[in-house]
Amino acid sequence: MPVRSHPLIDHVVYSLLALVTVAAVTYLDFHLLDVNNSTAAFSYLLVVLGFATRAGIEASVTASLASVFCYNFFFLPPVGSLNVADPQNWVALIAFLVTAVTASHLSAQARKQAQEAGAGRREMSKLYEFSRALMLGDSERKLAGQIAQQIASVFQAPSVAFYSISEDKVYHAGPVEPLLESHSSTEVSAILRVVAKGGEVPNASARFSAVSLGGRALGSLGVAGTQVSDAALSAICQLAAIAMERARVQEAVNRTEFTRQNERLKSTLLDALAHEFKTPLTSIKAAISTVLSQRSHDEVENELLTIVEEEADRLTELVTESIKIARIGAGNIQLQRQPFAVTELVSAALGKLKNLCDGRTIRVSLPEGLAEVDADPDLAELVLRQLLVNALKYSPSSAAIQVSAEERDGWIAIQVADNGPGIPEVEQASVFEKFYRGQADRQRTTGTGMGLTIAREIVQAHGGEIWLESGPGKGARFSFTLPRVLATGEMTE
Amino acid sequence: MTNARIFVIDDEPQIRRVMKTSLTAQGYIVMDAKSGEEGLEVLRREHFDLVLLDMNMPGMNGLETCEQIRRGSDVAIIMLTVRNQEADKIAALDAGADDYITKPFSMPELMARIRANLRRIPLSPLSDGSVIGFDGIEINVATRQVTVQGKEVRFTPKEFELLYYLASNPNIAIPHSKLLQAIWGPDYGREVVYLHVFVNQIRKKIEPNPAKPRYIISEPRVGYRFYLPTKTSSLENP
Repeated sequence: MPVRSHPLIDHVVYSLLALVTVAAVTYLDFHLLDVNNSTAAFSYLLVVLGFATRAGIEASVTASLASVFCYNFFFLPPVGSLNVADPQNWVALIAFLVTAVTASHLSAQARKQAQEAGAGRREMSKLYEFSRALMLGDSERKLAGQIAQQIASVFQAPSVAFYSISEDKVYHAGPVEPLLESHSSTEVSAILRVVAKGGEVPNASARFSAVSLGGRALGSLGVAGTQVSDAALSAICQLAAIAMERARVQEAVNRTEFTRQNERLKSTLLDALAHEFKTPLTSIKAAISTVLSQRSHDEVENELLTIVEEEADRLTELVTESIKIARIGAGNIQLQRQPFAVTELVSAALGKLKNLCDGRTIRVSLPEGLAEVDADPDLAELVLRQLLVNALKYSPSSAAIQVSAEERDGWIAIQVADNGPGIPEVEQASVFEKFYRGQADRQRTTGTGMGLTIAREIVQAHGGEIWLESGPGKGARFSFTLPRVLATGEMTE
Repeated sequence: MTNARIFVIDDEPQIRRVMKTSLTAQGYIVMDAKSGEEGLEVLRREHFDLVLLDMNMPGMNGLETCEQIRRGSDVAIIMLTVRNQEADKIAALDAGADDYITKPFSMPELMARIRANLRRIPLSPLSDGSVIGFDGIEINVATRQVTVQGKEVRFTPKEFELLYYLASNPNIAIPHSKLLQAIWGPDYGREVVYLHVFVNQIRKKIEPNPAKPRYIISEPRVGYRFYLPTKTSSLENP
């Protein structure tokens, strides 16, 4: 914007110039050219018109008054005296004044329009520059700071503050004072928060505006010391909102892509791990099972070979289970659903825990004619086994463990209850969290601390629920639900 | 089947070693290859009764190798894999394998599978001849050939046996387990996914619209029923 002097000085200078010009024209007309009344009137009119279009109303009125004085004194008879009573005087005065006011008004309007158009053009090009700068902002966090900096530099604002709701942070460009004279930055922040939520700011020396997109508040903007139109300010806010939204979406896309790639990497790693462990196990298993099946061995040989085969099987199972748990822990469950009876599930789980159950009382009570479940048999067994292991671990060896099941609104609920010390209420909410261990058992219990988390993940993947009912001294009762098989006719292949 | 020729394709030398030793001890003639490419090369020159094919190999993987073998051969194929996932089983069977076994496996289990897949079920000609014919489809039991609207369509042995079994027991619902035991052998019964894949493959070959099958009808949760139009039957038609 060009540097301009003070308007009052301008007026005085132009008015003096008007007086000088009128004097010069009078000298020219009266002394040098000796023109008649009409020519003199026209020459004064030209002066008034000239000042009206160029110098504004003040100078042109000055020129009008001076012209009327000179015209009357030098050209209207009696020459050399002022005769205000003469109607010709009034006609001249009114003509000069009307010319001065109309012309200056018209030219002022034209000038104003030209100035506005110029300012509009300049603002447009600045907005364009601003939007281009925002395009380069990559993340939402960086962008909020860039918005403040860019507004300050593009619109030559000495002080800009930008508040981002998502970060609850104010970014400043330039000093705080011009925004709110004698106010601190905390007060500016408070005002920005109010504005962001659609509030009004009373008596602020700077301009504050909310930044929102589609009715969703994103932040607010405070600008001081710049000649920015309301339209431009609103456009700045719109551009800032769009840029922030674009950055937010981009960040979300990046995060999703990162998670997806991470999952894929984990999956690939687990597959590679499974392959690496299982290949030698395959050779061992194939070799030992061939030897065992080929010919009769003496008792000792047979026993030793059987131990090798059983341990190879155990190792295989451990590898399979560890990989399965790692996969589920990484949030990657693939269900292989099929219908099966709860009795099968219970006996499979108890079968696998034969060693652990040795010498313990386990009461299984399943109602007659209980519907089958539609679930992944291996994973469902893992859940039940986890609950059984928990019950066996946390209850005294003399206490019995109850396994029961019932049908509830299309679901089969399976319960494992122990008569152990129970779980205090404060800990109940946390037992399903990763790596959680009961206060009393942190030192003595082995395991990964992932068991119940895995169980919950599996049950939830089936759409079911898992929960705990317990109290100190009352034992613990874990329940989980699996979907019941639909009756024939409800289901297609 | 003694003296049957078995071809092992696996990139793991120890697995090839143990297979060769164990299977040879059982009386089979065994050759091996360490990659899919090498395996295909050998298969062009040599005849085998059964291929044990590893699914997870560098270079050409088991599925691609299986598809390539199927382009020119009806040899029985058992796929070996470390992942016990339904999707893998379907992929293997879709690629043309007849069976699937998860590593690690015991030798007796593998032997049972090999026997089941070497076995060709004896197809007794029906009382009214050796050809089952309906709607322009002909199943020739003697030559093990199927023609659809006059054109010969290739069937793998297991596909042919399944179609033949269904067509020679028409219009009754045959349970999954019975079909599996009839075609694959007594050790089978739970591998319903095999039937899904094989039935889909057969439907693509004989059904005018495989999405809306006319001949091989699914009986949800039970099995399959073959609808034989020309056969008079006391049972209901669909």
